[in-house]
Amino acid sequence: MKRFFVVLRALILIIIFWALHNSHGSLPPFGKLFDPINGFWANNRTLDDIPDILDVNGLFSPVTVAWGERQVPHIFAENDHDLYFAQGYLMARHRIWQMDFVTSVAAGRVSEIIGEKALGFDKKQRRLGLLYGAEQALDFIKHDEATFAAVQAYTDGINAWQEQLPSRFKALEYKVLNYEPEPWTPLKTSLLLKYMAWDLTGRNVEHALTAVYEKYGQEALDHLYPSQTSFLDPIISKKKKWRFDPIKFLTKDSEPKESTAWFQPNHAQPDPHNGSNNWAISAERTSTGYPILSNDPHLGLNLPSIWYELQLVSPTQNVYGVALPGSPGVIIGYNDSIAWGVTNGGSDVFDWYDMRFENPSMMRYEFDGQWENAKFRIEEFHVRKDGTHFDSIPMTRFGPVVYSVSKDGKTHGMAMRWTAHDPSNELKTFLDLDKATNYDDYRKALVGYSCPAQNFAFASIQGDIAITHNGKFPLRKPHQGDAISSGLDSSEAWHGWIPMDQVPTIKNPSKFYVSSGNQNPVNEKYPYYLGWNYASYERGKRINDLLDETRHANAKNMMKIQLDNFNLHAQAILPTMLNFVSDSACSETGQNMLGDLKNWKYENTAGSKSAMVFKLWWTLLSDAIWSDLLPEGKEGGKYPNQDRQVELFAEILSEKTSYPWMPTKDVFEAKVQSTYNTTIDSMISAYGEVGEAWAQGKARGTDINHLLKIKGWGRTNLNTNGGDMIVNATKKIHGPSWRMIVELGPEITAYGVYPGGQSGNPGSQYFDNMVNSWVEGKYFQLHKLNKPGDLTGRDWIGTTVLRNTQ
Amino acid sequence: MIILGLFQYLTSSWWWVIVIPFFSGALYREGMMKATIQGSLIGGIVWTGISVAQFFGSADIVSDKIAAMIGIGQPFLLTIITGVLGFLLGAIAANTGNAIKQYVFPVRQF
Repeated sequence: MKRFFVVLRALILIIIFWALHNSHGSLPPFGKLFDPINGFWANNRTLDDIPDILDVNGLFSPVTVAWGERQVPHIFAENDHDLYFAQGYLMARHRIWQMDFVTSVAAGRVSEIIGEKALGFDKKQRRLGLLYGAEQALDFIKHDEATFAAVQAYTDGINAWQEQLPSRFKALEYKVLNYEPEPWTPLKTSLLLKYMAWDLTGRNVEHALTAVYEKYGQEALDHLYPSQTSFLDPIISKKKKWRFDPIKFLTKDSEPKESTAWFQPNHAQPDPHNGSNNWAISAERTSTGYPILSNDPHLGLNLPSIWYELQLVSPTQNVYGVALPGSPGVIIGYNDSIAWGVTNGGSDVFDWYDMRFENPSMMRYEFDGQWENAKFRIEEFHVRKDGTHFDSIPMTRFGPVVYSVSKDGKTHGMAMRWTAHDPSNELKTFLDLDKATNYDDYRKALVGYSCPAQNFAFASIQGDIAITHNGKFPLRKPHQGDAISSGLDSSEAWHGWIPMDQVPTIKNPSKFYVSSGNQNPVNEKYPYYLGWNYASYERGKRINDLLDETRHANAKNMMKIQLDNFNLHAQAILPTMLNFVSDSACSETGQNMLGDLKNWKYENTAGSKSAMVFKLWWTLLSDAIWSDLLPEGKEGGKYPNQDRQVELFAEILSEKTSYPWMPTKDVFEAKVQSTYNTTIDSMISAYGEVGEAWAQGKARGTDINHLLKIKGWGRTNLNTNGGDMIVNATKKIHGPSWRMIVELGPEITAYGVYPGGQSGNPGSQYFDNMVNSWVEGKYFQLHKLNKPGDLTGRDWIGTTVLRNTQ
Repeated sequence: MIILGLFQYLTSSWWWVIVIPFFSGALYREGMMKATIQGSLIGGIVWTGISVAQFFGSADIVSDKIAAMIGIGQPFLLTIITGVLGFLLGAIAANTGNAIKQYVFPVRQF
């Protein structure tokens, strides 16, 4: 009996050890986590302390880092190798978990962290080819000595940090999820860039348009989804003359399409709101006598933030701006001579091809009347606690087959043609821009840039301004690739590429500014077809209206534009909507709210109830009109773009046309009334009777969640202005991820802010210390130094020297 | 207690809070109850002391985050949880160590 109790005690002890040492489902390993020396307690504010000296292995010369008050590093190195090494080292110090996790997501390796439940996601990621594209790009980058040297030095810097780091100080997220960091590789940098390419070009609604085509025919597609609307104020002036001979290519009529109703993509699509604003104003219109550049990229808002602020100084460059954690160099910023900023291009660089396979083995597919062999890419998944899994992906001439079906003796696969799968070196563009000194350098830097296509706004101290819709664009027939293409023959294949010297660009326009808000870059005079699914016109138009009025631009009035809350869309459609609402058909609350809406000045401020009501009303009306008429409805279908809907509603009311895919005027009017009543009822149901809770900042607000969506680790219910397709594009979980304004000149003055903080440690005071300023529309002055000692007073919090240990 | 703190620090392993009390219990010459209390004090005092020092030192922000994550209102409760964990682990380990010792090397009755 005594032996039994001894064994029982030992067993209980072992079980307790096992239970506390391991994670169980979503429960972290409590023994490790609560260890007061090595657990979460160690991820405290002492990690913010700035050391005077850091001994690292891998530097050629000492590197001096002056730390700005928000823990912004100003890195001074004697050569580019040490500069990128130090950048990697310091970014890893602040953001290693984020870098590691995001690239794991891109690579389809999440199941290694959280187990079998992520296997489906991982398989989809591999089929979408982010890892494949990253491998292709890395092979290509290796051919460019300077770029690869930067990537390798950056990688070495990250790994130098990781090797030095005592395991007690590994990031909190590793402890909560109970896994270990792994060495950084150049492939991870490539993966990060593919992740951005996916985020900015991966959205695709061809299946929805194909469904519309199958139901109503080509006329409906042309009518509902034109590439131009009457509202369009394109990025490149309508007056621009295209002084080049466009490439001519032969096109064949395509085969009649087979139904692709089987194809219902279920992978996570990038946020449709990904976009940005940028503009540059000529010296003629600024109070400083030099150009001014502004940029605010709109992306999903998370903590840690997508951006990391820093200055890089070496004999070849002195650049300040924001970098992507995981990639060397500065992505958006300025140096002594130029400033640049980017917005998403939005042109179509991703087509689905319906492939007919010989049989379910998918070994051969039909092309131009012949059977072609598919190659197979074997993907391996090391699933946590579940061994190794495999997936075999057929690779066609168009790309990887992401979806497939075998039915009635036929096998079809949906192959993905995406420019991000092609070998490319986007990083070179940014590294060259970091060092550029004039317009010619800017143009040279853009050559070779592929995906994601961006609108690169530019300003220089020489007085030039420019914008280029830059990327690798396929040659297509008009509207080719709007719907799913046939992979049966070459008729719908891409016919080559738009030459880089023929992409849309403009320098020093007569209106004295350039700008973009993700709208169509060109009007119909541009000789190539770029796509149709651009952002609605409102942001671009509003920015242009405000810049047209500006005569003495300075940083202050540029901030005012970035923070502008005017709702051009509401101004365009709300009066029409209000015309069809009758007081007598509304509840008492509805009647009162009508008064508010009629008096609304179209400002989407945090305190505005009308902004909230209008947004909901528009969404419900749009659903009510299109969900019955268009196949698939809101669960994956694509309504016409917002500006096109405004045009279509005017068309409905004019009763000049009649189409089966459009409601009649009577139906439209009835739906305006019924959706208004539903809006009011929904608001009451969600927020009670009219009161402060109806205000946009309360009812919608903004949430900046932790990447893992861990409760309490983000900043939620932020009382924000702005909204969808408003210049201040702040929304629920999306918005301006970096606001930057640069006044060029002999003494550059620049301002910036992003909704987060430099540190990725949730236990740091620098984790989210800029969020409040961002919400309030405040900016920080950006101090670009000439030497480390230039930073003084309250702006300076310490200096670190990185020395080589050998 | 110093050994426990030192070992945890040097090896970055949490389980010394089991190992040290286990051996302290095994080496303890007096009764099981006293060995258990000694083990619990070793684990409890070290884990409580350090966590309280961390909480009032520089772990205030991370405490807020962990408290929110596990759904407890007061971050200070984390020091109590940590202490109780150390106390219980120390007690169970010391008790087991002492029981094994008594089984392997029974005290002779004269």
